[in-house]
Amino acid sequence: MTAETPLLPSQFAELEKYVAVWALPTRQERYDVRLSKSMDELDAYYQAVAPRAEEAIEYLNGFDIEDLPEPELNLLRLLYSLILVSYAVNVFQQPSIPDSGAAFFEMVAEPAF
Amino acid sequence: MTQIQERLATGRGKWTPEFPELGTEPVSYDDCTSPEFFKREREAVFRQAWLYVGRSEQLPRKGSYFTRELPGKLASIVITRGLDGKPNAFHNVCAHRGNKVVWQEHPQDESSGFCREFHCKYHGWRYGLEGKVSHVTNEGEFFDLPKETLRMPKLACEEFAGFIFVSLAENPPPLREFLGERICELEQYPFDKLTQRYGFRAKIKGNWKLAVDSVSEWYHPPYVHARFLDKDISKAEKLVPPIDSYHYDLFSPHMLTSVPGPPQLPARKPGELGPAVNDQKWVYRLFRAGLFGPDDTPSDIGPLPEFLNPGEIKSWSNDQYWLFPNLYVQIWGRGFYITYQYWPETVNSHIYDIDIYFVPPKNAQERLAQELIVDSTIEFAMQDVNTIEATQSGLETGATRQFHLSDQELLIRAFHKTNRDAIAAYEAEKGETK
Repeated sequence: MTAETPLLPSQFAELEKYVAVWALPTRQERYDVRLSKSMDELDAYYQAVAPRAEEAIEYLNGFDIEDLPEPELNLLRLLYSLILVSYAVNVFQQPSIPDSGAAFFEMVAEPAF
Repeated sequence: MTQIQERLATGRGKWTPEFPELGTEPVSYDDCTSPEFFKREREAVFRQAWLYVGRSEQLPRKGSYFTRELPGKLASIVITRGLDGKPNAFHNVCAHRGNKVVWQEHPQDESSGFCREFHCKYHGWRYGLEGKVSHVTNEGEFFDLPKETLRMPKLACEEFAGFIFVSLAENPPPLREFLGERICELEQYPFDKLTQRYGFRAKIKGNWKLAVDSVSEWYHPPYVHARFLDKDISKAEKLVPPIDSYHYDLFSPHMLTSVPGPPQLPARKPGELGPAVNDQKWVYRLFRAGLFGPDDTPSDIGPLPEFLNPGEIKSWSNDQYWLFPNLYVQIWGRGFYITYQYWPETVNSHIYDIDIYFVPPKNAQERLAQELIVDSTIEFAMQDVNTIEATQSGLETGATRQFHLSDQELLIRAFHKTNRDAIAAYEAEKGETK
């Protein structure tokens, strides 16, 4: 990491340690991470990102969504992951959907950003 | 009555008796377990009906194409946008020695792209955008080759409201005739503005009709989706709309159900959200979205066409149109739509496609709201599909052969009957012409 290319906008620097694991480009990758984590890890992610989410959305709204600089794109992807993690933490209390067995949806089309 | 039940109840009586042809007696589910029935259904329904294969946006210009591998080896086809701007469909088979013409890397994978001609990878024969042969390598070496008639075999193909349909039948009725007046109303909806697509596909170990059943009634949500409502099922039961708040309509072979839902939240004032808590309702308020859609309907979609919510139900959320034999088009009042399609593979497996479409988002907040709607839809759908596998397992034991459908399940009664009737009609017609 260099000063010229921060992982996240500076006011969200405290979340940088989550970028490598959670700021992934596709939903499939983010979902795979959710399934691979323990509830303690998912809880920790939720407790870290949720309190900053409202401010992050407000901040990102100031940018052209189709042309986000990399730090802002990483921040947006952390919020995508927050959504996926929220079901595990708040609804299921486990990483996978209870009683979903082997059911799985493969993603065949997804917006580019 | 709970608050939601008081607000939405209509006091309307039962629906099923209004359609005497449906009957009210117990039903058999042999149509989901019998291999012999599966073969007849394939021939009489899937080889005769109009089948949805893709959206017009997938053929943005002349020369655009995509291939489809219709499950269960129903067909391998190419769909193109011709030089006249119209869609064409033909079997993906070379007239020379049967090689699959259009594919990339893996012959079984679907592909898409843009071209003027298709080149067979085997001996270089070429085909135009309508599937007719345009070049035969070393043509003089062949014997009496009827080149003018050679082609990749043509299929009927028509476009309706941006939905591309094909038929494997030799002389199908015109698409709009097959769809009928009520479905044709869908042409008033601005599908062309909703180009932001999320597509999902799952292989399900259950007969395709069981999956259709699972989204054709509003009896299961407090149980299958309890965790989203309340961990305590007795409380979850009180959070769903009352059974008389839905609307149903049958216009065979197609049908409709209209569904109520919660109102949108007003715009949020600064400081109103409150600190982060472990409650999914807080997440919904944060992102201003939930399973029923965004709290902010995109303005550029324009006013909703008048044909929607024909039953004028209270707190209307969405209309779910069933296009026989295998497509639901679900139009949501909050400015998005979802297609659910079911492709039989074997008697006890099918491919389930869910596609969710939005107006392209203008900013991060709209984009995140859409992401949350997609994630919610898929989390719910995963709960539904595992139930289908459990139902197939139960039916296949053969331990019980008569099952009971309540009034809320009239679309299920109608759908299975329509399917059986289509088979009977086809077989009767075939018998007569023999």
